Amino acid sequence: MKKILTILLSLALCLGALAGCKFEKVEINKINPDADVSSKPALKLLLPYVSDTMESNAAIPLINEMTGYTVSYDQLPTGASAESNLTGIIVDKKTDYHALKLTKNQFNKYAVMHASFADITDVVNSPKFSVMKNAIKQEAWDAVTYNGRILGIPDSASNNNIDKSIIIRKDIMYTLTNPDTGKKYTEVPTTFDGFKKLLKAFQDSKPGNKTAFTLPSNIQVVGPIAASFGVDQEWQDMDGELTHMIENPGFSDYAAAMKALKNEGLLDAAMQTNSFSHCAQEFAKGNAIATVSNFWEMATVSEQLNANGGKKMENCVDFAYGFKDSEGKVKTWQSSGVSYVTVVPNWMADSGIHVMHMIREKLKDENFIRLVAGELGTHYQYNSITREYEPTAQYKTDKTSADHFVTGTNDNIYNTWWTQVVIKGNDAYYFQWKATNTDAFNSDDHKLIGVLNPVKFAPPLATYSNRAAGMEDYFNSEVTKLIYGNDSAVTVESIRAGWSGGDNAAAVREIKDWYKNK
Amino acid sequence: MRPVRETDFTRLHGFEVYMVQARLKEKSKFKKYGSLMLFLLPGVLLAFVFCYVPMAGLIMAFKQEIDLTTYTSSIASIIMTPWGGFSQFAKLFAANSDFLRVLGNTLFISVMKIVLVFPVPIILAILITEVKNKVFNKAVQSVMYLPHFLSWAVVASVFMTFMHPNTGALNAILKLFGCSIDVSSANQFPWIMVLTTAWKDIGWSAVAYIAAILAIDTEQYEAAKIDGAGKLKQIWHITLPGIAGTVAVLLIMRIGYLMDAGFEQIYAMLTPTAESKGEIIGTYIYKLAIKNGGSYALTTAAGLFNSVISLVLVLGGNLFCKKVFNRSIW
Repeated sequence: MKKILTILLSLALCLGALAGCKFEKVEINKINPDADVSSKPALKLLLPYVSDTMESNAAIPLINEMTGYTVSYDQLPTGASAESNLTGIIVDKKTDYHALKLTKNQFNKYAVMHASFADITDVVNSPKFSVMKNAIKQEAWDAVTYNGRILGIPDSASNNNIDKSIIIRKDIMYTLTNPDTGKKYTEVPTTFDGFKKLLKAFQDSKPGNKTAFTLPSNIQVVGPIAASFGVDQEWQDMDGELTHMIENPGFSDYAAAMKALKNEGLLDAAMQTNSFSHCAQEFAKGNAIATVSNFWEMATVSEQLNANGGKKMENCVDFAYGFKDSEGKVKTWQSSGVSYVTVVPNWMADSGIHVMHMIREKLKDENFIRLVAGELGTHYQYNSITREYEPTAQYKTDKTSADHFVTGTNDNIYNTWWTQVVIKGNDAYYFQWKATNTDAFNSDDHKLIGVLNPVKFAPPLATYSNRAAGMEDYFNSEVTKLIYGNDSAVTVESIRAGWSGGDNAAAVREIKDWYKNK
Repeated sequence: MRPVRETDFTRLHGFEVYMVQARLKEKSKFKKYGSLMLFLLPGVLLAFVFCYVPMAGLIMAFKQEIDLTTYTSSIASIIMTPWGGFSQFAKLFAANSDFLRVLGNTLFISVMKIVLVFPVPIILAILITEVKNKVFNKAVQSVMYLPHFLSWAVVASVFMTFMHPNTGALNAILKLFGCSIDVSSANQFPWIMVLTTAWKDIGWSAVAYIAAILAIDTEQYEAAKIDGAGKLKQIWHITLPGIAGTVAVLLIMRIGYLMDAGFEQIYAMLTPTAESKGEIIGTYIYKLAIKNGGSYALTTAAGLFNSVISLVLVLGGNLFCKKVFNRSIW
């Protein structure tokens, strides 16, 4: 009897739980541009990780003042747990965030699900929101459109930057003898062969050294070197077809060249266990003559140099931003595309109009400038000689992390203000950025050509968006094994087969079809 | 057919009387200890909510790909997704799948952890309890417990720094003896996992054995001494039999975790070139779930397979302990 009662009770509990579920199919909710906004509720936004002191950021009261909305912010954790937290929020469909700021990859992944985000197409096309529509470039709107619905407000990259460059310890380089000329080096090599000879000269000067060129674990493909073998981008147009680097015939040569560096002891074999700060430390100590740095990582390099005998980056660092390819051209990978997307969760569509009004206010020219650059006289000044604006000391206090609070970029003005004020706000960042983004493009004898990745403006695609992260992970992992491992079964052909085979085949076909038909 | 005899009725009747008496005893016991049973309630509720209720989600393993945003509630989305039979399991064991390799890695690392690490806390507990200097004893215990309270992320970062091929202090010492340790080497990786587990957990694992040893009646040792037994004989004939029950229970529980070779530890330390011998079921499922667009059905199938094997192992371990040590959990 007890057993029967237990079974009946369990069944009743299960049926009760099921009865509590709504078996109602979710519709994609549209935000009505004409909805009443006479009352302004407090809004809650979820951002990617900003910092532990996010609440005290000067951008928060400024946004409240310029939009008339009181906005509070939460942030996702750093690292892998951000993904699981976000998945919980999307599938739970109950959290009270009025808007979520997602990376483009996160946006793509959830946009292709049945109904994650509210449809804002009517809002974007409404004359009331023309400021918002006109502030953002059309290719960015296209990148957030799925099945004809606009699902978010895009943040485009601030500038088509050259993020990464090989950095060279020029003070050490000047002490080494160039085997081609028999004289001391006076400038950074312009070809990959010349770079290899520099590494060898460094290694010969430090017997037993095996870290002449050190890399952190997240750099599997070194853009400036890959481009010299014809691998100009992760994805590039080759004879009208969208081609991934693993399908590029030049990739075999690149992989062979890197493997040779590693086998000759010129490339740090411990790459898989290196963090960037470790590489910066080895570079600063003079155990490595070269590494790869993003411009925002130059601050770490500068700190490390300073910690190692008070060295100054200006005296120690030079840039090998690209090497000549077989045609004598100097190319490298240039960043572009949509980096973040702000969405209204589908279940919060009723209050979504307030988010749209808030974002529209932020995108107005005068407000957007105040948000990213600050106030004239306080955060920046006009230099009548250079005819450019320049940040003040106050800018560095108030504005250095304001970009975290941008929800949609005003593409008409962002580039100008970013290049005139924002990037100059950090001396170390600007040191590298200027060398690789202005000086390199204006060089007479080593003029740089930046190559864009067409996929960075791709919209969410049903199959590709789900597979992209896994495919990238597979590629990175296998390329690491190919260059740094000893498994003879891993070859460029095996990576190509694994990357484009099985369930990935449909994803590859889909992204190529998108490019062909766009 | 044999005719029914009076004795048969008596035997049956007697059994019924025995059962009725047993039930009455149970009832009176419940009445007597009912209030104490309330202490069980939180534990039972927790186990029910977090262990039994989620089991309903196992139906995902038999569904086609699930989109949890389709219906108002996620449960409704799962239920309404069409059934997929055993297709997810077929995918898991497909010829080009890595699952079997990953399963082999999991079992190898786990078995090595049991064989090499499980006995160490027992030895340690015996050594600690034999030390008569209380201050030294407490200090050793505290130092050995400490690593247990560090997260694997911290421990991994410390070990990666110590074992760094170029700059690691451990490698600098090992190089003096003509050898080195490399976490990115596939052949070394499983052994590094075993060693780091030992470093982190033996102190904490010894607590249960120390408690069991302290519960042994000291008169037994005194009697053994009078009979001329030395330290080793006392340990062999008194201490080890005295803690055999605890060892059996902990061994069975450890066997239950055989399919969990240490997700956090391995996730934090695994490098691509060590994957062939270092990737385990936990990291593999994580990769499938998070990085490959959240394939709930496939990852649930992998999880279910994992759980069924664990259940078989626990039952087997219990039977083994019953037969060999005459001790078991149930």
